[in-house]
Amino acid sequence: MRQAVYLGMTLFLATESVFFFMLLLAFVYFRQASHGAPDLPLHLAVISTASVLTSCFAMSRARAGKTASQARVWIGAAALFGLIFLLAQWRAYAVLLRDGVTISESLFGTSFFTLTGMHLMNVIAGVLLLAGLDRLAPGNLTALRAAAMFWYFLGAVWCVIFVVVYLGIRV
Amino acid sequence: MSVGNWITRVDHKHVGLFYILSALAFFLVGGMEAMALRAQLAMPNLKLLTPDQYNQIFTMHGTTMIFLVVTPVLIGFGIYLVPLMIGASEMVFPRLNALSFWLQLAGGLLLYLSFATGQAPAAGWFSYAPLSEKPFSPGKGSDYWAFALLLISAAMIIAAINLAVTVATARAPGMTMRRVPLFVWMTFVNSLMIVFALPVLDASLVMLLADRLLHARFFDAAHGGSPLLWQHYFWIFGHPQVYIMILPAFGMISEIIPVFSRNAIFGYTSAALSTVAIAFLSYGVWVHHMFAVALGTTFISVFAAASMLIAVPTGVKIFNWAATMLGGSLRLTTSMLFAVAFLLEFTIGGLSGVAFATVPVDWELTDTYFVVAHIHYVLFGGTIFALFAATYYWFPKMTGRMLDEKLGRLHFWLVVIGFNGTFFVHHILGLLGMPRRIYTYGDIPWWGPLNLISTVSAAVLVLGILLFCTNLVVSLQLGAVSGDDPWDAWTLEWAASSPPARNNFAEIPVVRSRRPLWDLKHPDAADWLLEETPVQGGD
Repeated sequence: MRQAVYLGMTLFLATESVFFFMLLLAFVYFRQASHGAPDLPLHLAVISTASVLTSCFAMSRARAGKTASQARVWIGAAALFGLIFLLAQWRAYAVLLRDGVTISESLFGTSFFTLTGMHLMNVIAGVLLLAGLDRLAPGNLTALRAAAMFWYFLGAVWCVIFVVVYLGIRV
Repeated sequence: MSVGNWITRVDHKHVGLFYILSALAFFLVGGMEAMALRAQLAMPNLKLLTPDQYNQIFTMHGTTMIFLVVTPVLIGFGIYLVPLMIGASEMVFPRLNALSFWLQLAGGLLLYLSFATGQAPAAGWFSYAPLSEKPFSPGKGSDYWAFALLLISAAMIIAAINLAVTVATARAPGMTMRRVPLFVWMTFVNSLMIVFALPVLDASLVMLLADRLLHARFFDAAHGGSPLLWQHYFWIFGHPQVYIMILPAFGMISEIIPVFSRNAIFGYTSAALSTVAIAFLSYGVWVHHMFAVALGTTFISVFAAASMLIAVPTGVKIFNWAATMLGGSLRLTTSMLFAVAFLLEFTIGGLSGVAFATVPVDWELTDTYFVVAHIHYVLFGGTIFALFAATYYWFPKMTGRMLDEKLGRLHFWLVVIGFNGTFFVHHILGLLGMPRRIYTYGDIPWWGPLNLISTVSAAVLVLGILLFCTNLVVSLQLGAVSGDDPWDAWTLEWAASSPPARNNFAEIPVVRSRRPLWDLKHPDAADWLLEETPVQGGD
């Protein structure tokens, strides 16, 4: 059963990868096609990246936790840093909207908000999953590891977005 | 039994039957839509439907048949049969299995709820932008279409992951991947294709919904967006989807033809590997749906060549089946008749497909009735014929009773005559230049009579299908009791009782060859004796 759960999660993440790849492709395509791009709040993206990496680290500690209560504390920490990521993103959206960058204002906005918005929704689902993990599957190491796979994956997608969207734009 | 009890069932056999029965219901609805279209087209200048109604009905017909009938019914057969065939007691994730069905059904109901808004989707089953964008489709129909497809694709992905993991991890002892029945092989490959193709549709739908509901600009040419991007994305999903709708049918035929030819499948390995080849190639051919777009000669030539290449692994399969029949002694049951007819009809559809891969031919015939002929020869002549064969073959396993052979033969001939009469003339209409998706046409030489032939034949086809439904209902009550193994077959599902018990097998079967039941019945001539002897001799 353990093997089945990991394989199932792997296939689910394969589906997710293709989904994000297509949205990223649209973003890159429209960035090439459009003239110029707005200034993005890079400092908020750096905070987001730092909280994602910290959260993934906490998750790896949770996986390695010797007792259930230890694991619970680390999962809580991972969820907390996920929450910080969401706050930083919310702030970044607010800054962009204040500057007039919206989903309908330009193709940059269209593809930027769709890509990051879809990632954001996944992170919200991920935070809820981490928060409810102990209730859904108490003491279940397989479930914990599968949740960790999902969480690492979302972290990796963010890192790609950070590099391509936030850093790539300045090259 | 209470309703709550009934809908909370997670047994793979119940979930599989739910899938199959809901697909049958939608098949009848989609068929009625098709009849409405054929009635409207029966003669020149008819005005039975308004143009707008016509657009809605052909959109719903296509979407229904593809997403609510063919795809889910093949998944349903997979869910029913795969655990039995690999000697497992259940799918690996039974509750996810049930969830996938209810999501699928919810998607179907949501799609049909769009009629209640007064405007069903009307932009065709591939909803080309900018037609599907807000300014050109202001009604709510396209929103319902997109949300329904999101639900259905979620259902498909869940079912596909479940099937793939079940095949990978739940096989009985000795049931190696070199021994699983070909239906299992093809369902496995199909599931992986779903996992990699459907998210592309999801991304496209999210973009379309962003455009329609949030005023995003993805496909809005006036603001620099790209309608062409929709075509690329949709067909990157859409072409693998075409194979998702035929590979399990190939698997069914690969089970049925050997049993009724009394001969093991010819070239098991090539049949399995050619499936993998088709899966890979299917991701590199999407542009052949877009030859009429000015994309550059070199670019489209590559896709033309890749598209023709698909005929090779598909041809391999046709030879697998033909050679199996050639070396055997045929038993022409209704199931086998449909399987043989499948070979012929699908080959016609395949050949018109290769014709389309030739760019100048495509330029001449694209968006004409020739396309309609092609798609129906592969989807109806191919998949639906295989499904009829599969129903006559596995109905005894699912119910414990045989379908009536006399009614079956009548059903077969009505369907063969009705189907070919309806769709063969579409080739000619296409060559005469009749465009698809027009709701009526003028009195042009030959168009009227050929369309009338098509409509009358469609009525014959409907008669055949109603006879099939009658057969299902009558045989369920009065059919001859089948016993566990009415066809003297070789795969493990026939070792279970009919219908199989809750956990399928009283004890876990041990498998030593590709035909475990043959081994059981003929211990002296068991396949594994033959398989193992040369290896020992070689050492």
